Amino acid sequence: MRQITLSTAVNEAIAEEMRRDETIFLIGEDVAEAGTPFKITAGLVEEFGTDRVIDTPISEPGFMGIAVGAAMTGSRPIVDLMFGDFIFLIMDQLCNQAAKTHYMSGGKLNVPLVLRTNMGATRRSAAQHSQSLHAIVAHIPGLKVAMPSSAYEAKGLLKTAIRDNNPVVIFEDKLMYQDKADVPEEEFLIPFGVANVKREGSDITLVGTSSMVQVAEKAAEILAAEGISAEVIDPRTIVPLDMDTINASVRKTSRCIVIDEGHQSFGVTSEIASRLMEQSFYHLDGPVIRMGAMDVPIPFSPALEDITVPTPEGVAETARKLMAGEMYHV
Amino acid sequence: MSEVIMPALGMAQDTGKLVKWLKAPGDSVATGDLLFEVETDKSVMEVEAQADGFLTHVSASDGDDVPVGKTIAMISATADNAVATPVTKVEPEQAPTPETMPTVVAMSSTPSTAAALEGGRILASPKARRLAAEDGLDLGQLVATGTAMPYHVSDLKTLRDLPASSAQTVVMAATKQITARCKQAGSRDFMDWMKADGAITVTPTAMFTSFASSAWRVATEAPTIVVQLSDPDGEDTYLRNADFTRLSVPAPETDEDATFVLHDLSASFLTSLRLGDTALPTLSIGADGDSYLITFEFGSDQMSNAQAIAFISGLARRLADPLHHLV
Repeated sequence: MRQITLSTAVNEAIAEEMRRDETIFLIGEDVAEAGTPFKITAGLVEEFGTDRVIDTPISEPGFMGIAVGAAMTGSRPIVDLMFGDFIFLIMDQLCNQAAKTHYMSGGKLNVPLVLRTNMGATRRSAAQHSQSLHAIVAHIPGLKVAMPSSAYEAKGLLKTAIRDNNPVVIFEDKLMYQDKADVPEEEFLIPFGVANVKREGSDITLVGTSSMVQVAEKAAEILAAEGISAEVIDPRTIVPLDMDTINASVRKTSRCIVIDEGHQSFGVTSEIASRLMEQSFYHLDGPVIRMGAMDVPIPFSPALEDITVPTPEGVAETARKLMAGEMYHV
Repeated sequence: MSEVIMPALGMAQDTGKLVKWLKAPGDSVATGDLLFEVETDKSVMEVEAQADGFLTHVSASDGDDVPVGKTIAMISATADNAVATPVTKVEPEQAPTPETMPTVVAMSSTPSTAAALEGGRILASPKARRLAAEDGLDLGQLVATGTAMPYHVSDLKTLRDLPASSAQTVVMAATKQITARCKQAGSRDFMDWMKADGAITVTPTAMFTSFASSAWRVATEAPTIVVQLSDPDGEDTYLRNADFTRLSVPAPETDEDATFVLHDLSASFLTSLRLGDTALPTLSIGADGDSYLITFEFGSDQMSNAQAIAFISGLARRLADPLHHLV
């Protein structure tokens, strides 16, 4: 099968959907001629023109508000938010308007909007351009949240998001834009709320999101060499969250580490760990362990930045302790 | 000042009965001193002091049913306030009281569940607890083995491998009985031959103990076997791995918990004995004419039927033909 980068996969998804549905338009900073800083939307303005690929000033609340209004009145906007960190600028448009309009209009209005943005540290982009803020969005009822872990998921999930009649936020890991993966040439969609068992195992479950799926897979390789069989699960969307698959895995292995690049406290890891505790308590042979980014602003210093986020070695070491019954806090 | 609390000795225990104080209010106590006896639905345990000082603020009396976790006294730096004021009489709980339940009074001198539970609880994973409950295993018995907490599913194997009984074992869920009969001639010939040929005296009791240990080992694959050899007139003796010792030499005595009880009744008119004061599997060997009558009683939670049958069959074979067995 052909291999393409995550960046190309996103570009293909947008182009295919825009060809299919004329009500779709793309809006954001530097999305037209510049093709965004990550060159994701390169070539789209040439095919679809400036009416459907719209460059905006540096005005996140403004273009997000435009998009929400357009979505309410028949268009299907795709908003490009250059860095996930800027989501704090558009919280009212996203959380108070887009998320609640369908509910508050008694179902009379829909907001078929896709917000594409990114996450991920270790790009030396410092504290205001390195955050992973998906948990904040996932906290708000009315918003769906997708977290692709490869080019394949990026394309399949984005096409599903664009066809959804409700607001969806997609967080792409900015470190993965040049990572290649097998992506079919023919059309495909990936449904929301269906986790992917990336690797089967019997001793411990590693649930990873986005780039942490790769971290979990590498940790599983390390552990396999030591005789520990790890199962790796990629939820693919955190809202909706496929607990059936995660519960089934943990009931098999009795142990679980949840790995996510958001800050560890009050985050995705906490949510999944809590649900496991509620739903699979009597199947747990050890505590469910959370591994997220340290609860500090992401440092600019490379040496410090690299140790704030989970690594394969760190996950493997935690798994060893969990297997040995040593993850015990007095 | 340190609290003295009513410990939780069972998994589903609401109250414990304070049998009696072993120290009086105002007494000086040292860490490790026995403070009081508590009776649960399973057994009577002695609870040790966790601190040095004087026993004060005593708020429960002998015979009281006390909710688990309740403070019943303090260990203080001075002997003042020896008795709590006002003395609060603990109301009996609605839960079934120990008196109404079959009770085994088992005072254990070995490190027991109680010792580890004085701090409050056994630490175990939810899955280990669930599986232990489903299989009727008492996680408290792991404490005596020295297994480090918290317990995980892997520790249940240790628990399953323990001798089927110990001081904490409840009254057997269901008592089963197996009887067997074999000729005495083989054993008598053997003892006579040992005497005549090697001037070695082998007593029937030594032979029963050794052969029963050997048959038990084959049937259950237990690594350690302690026979509690009953003596109705005196002290029982506890013999460790008697099948590892020559028949002419007494087996080593031990203070470990017994694996099973052996009544040698071959010199009496009795044929089997179960006096109801033990939760251990009980083996009786009596004489009936020119046969030995072997009676074995055990609980379904102690061994499988197949193991028990293998044990008694093996013992009967050994008694019928000792030389064949020994060679």
